[in-house]
Amino acid sequence: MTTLRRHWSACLRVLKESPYWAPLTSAVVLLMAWQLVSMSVPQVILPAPARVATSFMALTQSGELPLAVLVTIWPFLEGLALAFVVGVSAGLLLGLCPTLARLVDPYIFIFWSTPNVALLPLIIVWFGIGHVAQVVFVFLSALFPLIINTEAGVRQVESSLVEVVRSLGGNNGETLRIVVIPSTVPYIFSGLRIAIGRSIVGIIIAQLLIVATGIGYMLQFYGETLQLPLILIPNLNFGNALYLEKKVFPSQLRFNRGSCRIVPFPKVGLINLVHRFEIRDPGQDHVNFHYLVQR
Amino acid sequence: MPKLEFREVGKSFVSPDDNKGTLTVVDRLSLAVEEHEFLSVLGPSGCGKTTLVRMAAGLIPVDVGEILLDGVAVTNSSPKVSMVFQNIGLMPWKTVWGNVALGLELLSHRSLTSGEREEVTASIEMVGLRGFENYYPYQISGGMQQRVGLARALVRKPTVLLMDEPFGALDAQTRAILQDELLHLWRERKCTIFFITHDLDEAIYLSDRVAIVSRRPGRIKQVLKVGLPRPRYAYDARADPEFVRLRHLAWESIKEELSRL
Ligand SMILES: Nc1ncnc2c1ncn2[C@@H]1O[C@H](COP(=O)(O)OP(=O)(O)O)[C@@H](O)[C@H]1O
Ligand SMILES: [Mg+2]
Repeated sequence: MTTLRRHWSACLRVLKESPYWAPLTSAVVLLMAWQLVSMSVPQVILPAPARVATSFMALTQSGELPLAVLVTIWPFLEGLALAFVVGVSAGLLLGLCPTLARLVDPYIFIFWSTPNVALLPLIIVWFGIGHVAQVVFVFLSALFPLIINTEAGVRQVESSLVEVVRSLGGNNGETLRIVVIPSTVPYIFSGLRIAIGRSIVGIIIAQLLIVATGIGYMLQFYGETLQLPLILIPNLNFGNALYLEKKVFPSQLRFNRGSCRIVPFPKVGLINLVHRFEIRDPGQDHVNFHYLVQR
Repeated sequence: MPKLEFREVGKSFVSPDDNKGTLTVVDRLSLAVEEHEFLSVLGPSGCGKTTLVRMAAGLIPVDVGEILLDGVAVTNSSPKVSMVFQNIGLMPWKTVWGNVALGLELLSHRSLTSGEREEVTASIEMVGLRGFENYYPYQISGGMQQRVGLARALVRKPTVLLMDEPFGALDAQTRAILQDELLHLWRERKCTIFFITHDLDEAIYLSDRVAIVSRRPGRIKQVLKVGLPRPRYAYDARADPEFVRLRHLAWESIKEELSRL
């Protein structure tokens, strides 16, 4: 009994401390559940994981899947990159300029809550049914979370830090570079995380409804192997955003001393994003001890 | 000519409630700080001390009157003046070194020369933080954070140091240590210090003169000259009869202000 409990707590510890075990465990459990369910229902309703895997291999070997991914990923990246540049700049501008924000904010929220699909006819009329239309669709999907989050980020910049830079003689540009942008970065990244999710949906919809190519087209064509893209999509999503955020900006995250921070979403109740930075509280006592020794 | 002079300075803020109009925070306040002097402003919380020092730093404009630095009206932040803040205001994403370097970067508006980098290191050393250059603010104690704030101010070699309750948030022991170090640094640097505090003992212990401010709207109520010998850290100044006498005077004056509540 006690040994069992000890094993159990050891397992829990491994799950908690290693970055790989938790996702691996949940993947295995999920696969097993999938297998179990698929054995008890007809193949048409839910194919077994093994069958999906073989069709995945077949599609990869024939070159059809790699090509589709390529055709999908380009407009996706272009639209997202464009949205990032435009969205962050616009968000900074709106955050810094309250008058402009009062003029423009209502329209941003209207756009944000409009389903992008409703804009499809306009996009087709203006940009045709080619590559550009796809990029525009992704751009529109990704733009608003970036603007809104960046703007909210600028609003929460601590005025006392701005005052410090001012007192040291900093001009507008320096204030932006030294205080505003660094403290907005976590908000920009959480905006980017939503933007990536929406862009993936966006590109699939564009390829389903505007241009019949890429993953979107495959999705339609291989209706029976629906699972395939469904697996690919979440992988793409998590892999990028979370990883990037944790690896590229470690020093940015370090300053969030608490373990969790909530990104406010003013006026938009649709998504309330909880932004978690897992940072260990450093040994304060340890540092203080150093300090005493040094004195 | 005084180093820093307040001439009939007044400041009011628009109150958040429309019907209340404006809130007068500082009212025709006059005060002169002499060169190399250590002058403390002592007053109850909310009497406008922070407002006063923010005006002196050129962060907010005066409504009426003027503030003169070396005889010239203050309109903007000046390279001759450094400020130490009540809430310290370190950039959380910069290391100790980066925060101190900011003091020089914003003075010259370009990246640091190797000579300036040495000055940054020297300044960190001067406040006793050698070896902590690569620590982030949250990794060091409150006392050490305020040392960083002090180093960031001193690296600019200011002739006037404005300090807004710099030790207010620290525990008694750390505060006592930093007070002594401040006196040391002031002796070495020969700058003028305009020091804000609500702590009676601190004001008397550190200063040449203590200006007592009335309740809001802030006005100078009384200026006490502190006749204690210097250096004060070398002996127990707080036990000096002169200290006890001044403390009593100041306390009577402050008590009056508090009872007017
Ligand atoms: N920016 C501001 N807008 C409105 N009122 C303010 C502002 N700054 C300070 N005050 C008011 O001025 C008074 C004095 O504030 P402050 O100078 O911070 O006092 P102290 O530093 O002596 O505690 C307070 O009542 C405060 O509410
Ligand atoms: Mg104050």
